[in-house]
Amino acid sequence: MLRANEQGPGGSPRLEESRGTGAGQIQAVAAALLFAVGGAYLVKALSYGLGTLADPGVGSFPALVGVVWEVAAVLLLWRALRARDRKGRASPPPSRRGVAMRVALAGAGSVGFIVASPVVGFAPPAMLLAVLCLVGGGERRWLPLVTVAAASLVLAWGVLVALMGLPPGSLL
Amino acid sequence: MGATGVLIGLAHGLAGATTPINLLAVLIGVTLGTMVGVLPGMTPTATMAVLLTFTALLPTETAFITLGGIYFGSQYGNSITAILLNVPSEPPSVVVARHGYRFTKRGRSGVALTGAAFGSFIGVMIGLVGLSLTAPFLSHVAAGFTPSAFFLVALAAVVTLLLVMNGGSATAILSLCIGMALGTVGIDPITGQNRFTFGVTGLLGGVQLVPVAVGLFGIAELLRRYLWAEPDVAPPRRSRWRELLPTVREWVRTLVASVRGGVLGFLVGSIPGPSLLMGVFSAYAVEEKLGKRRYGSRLDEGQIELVAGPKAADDAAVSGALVPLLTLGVPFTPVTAMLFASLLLHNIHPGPLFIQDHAGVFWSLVVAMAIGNLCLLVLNFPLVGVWVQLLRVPERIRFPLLMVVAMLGVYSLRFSFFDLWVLLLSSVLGLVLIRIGFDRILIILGLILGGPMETALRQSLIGSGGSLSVFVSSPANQVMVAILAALIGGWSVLRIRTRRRQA
Repeated sequence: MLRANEQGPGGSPRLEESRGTGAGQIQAVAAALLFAVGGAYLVKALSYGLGTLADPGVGSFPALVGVVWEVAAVLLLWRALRARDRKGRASPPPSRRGVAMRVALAGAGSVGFIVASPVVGFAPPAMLLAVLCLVGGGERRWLPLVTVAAASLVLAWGVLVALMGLPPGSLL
Repeated sequence: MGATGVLIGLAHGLAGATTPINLLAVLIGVTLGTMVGVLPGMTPTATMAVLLTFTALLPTETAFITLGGIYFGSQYGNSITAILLNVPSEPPSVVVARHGYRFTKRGRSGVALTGAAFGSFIGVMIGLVGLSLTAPFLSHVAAGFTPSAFFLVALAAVVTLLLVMNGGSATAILSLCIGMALGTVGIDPITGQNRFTFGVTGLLGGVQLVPVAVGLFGIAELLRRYLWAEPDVAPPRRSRWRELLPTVREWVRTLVASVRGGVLGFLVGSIPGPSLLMGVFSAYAVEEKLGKRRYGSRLDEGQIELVAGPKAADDAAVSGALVPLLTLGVPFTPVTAMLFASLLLHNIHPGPLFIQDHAGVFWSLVVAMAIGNLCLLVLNFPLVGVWVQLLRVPERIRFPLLMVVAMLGVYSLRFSFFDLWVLLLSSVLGLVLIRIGFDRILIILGLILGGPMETALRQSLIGSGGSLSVFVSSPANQVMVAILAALIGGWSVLRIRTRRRQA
């Protein structure tokens, strides 16, 4: 979230982007990962064949993209490592446990939605997704949980049955 | 197309956009957009991304009109949060928040809200005049492009964007490469051979733009706020009706600043790059300079020109950004990428022939954008208090519901669970990219332009028997090559100079 350059009701004093610390370290890991993925993409592209200039092969354009990708990844890795050396180790962001919990719950809810919907219909996974996200957000009272579950049921009905014309049986 | 053609087109657009169904669509779009846009952190792009899929259910003109309404509604919703709470959801709103919130502190929030809405209206009107006059002409020119000319134009656009955004940094190049690589998945456009599908049937048709765009811009934004538990914002006290009304002098100052901002915004917005931001900050710089001369130290109390001018520039720049989208099929901003995705949902490919083949859609869009803004002016002032009450819904409740809406929406596009996997992966990718500071618009641009650029390049080479001279064979190509050389040369010289100065 951004805040304007003066005191607001929330008390944030300056324009800032609420990005976690350790960006250099994260960028180094990301660059290494991207280098690996780009390498795999390049190898696969080369396997399709480059062809000739008069008849470029299926892999020619992907290979071109792959080469630029790899060069940029090396550049990024080099810069990220230099930045990390200059700044030293960044302090870990606060409440990592809370973030991990929310990632786990939102992830489980989303994957569960995709996997379970074809089997049990859309309503139960949609309600489960909403409830898991809500629990991850710190809600423990039963009334908001039931309300959100009911609201997601209404949304599922509204989108799939009322708007898309699917049979109501698709919900369950 | 002459002035008569423009007038005839506008008349057709007026007839198309003012049907009862389309007027209702504008109304619903504006209301939905404001409702979601008023929530902190919901940028216009994220709002459009979440609601985009539902426009697929509507006829083409109505869908585009609804999406335009959603965009302007969410822009206005953003202004409400920025002015009343000093919480801008996106960089262009920062200047509006900075001076608008000063009005709120003095108990005159309504004046800033009026200035923002009126500025937005004038900005859109100026932008639409510019769009109506330039787009048909440019479209006519672009329709004569050969594959090699198209490749060079697209390359120049990509290079400009790369240089303007982060000075051609490695992250920008990588973002573009990721998008282009995604664009190569599926059936090869020339030989029909499968590429990078790994036996997955869902990948045969390529990576779909909509799930990727919704994931990168919509769900990723929602996830960011949810995972890092950004604090809820307390709603302010209710605005009184008389606070909404500016004085006559403030109306005049708003009008003048809006015209200045609108013209500047449209001109800057047509240039590839982060045009919205550049347009807004250019207008802000102009108003600040003029304001210092006029008000001196009183400028810091908050002056309406510094709200209306940048706001007008913001919305005019959006119309400016529509020029390359509708004439070349190249979206340079996240907002235009969403409009691009909306057109694809209706099997319309924006490009040089768009205005010729879908004149009705084009002119209806132009008129609907104007009507949408008028609706905002008429409807939203009395409803400001209602919109602000939406802030009472805590983030932890908003997130699950918006998440369910987005998932169901993407599924309903093609009834495809594979699209949901793409959405999920794109959301995670978007979240990671936000954390490490990558440009998500470049991924979308790469995904959109990768395929056409590859086809144009290979067609050019096959047609010329492998001779690279095809790229300098016509005067148009020579001009494009000269522009490319000037871009890269100019940027290199600037960079060397900056480094020397720093040393």
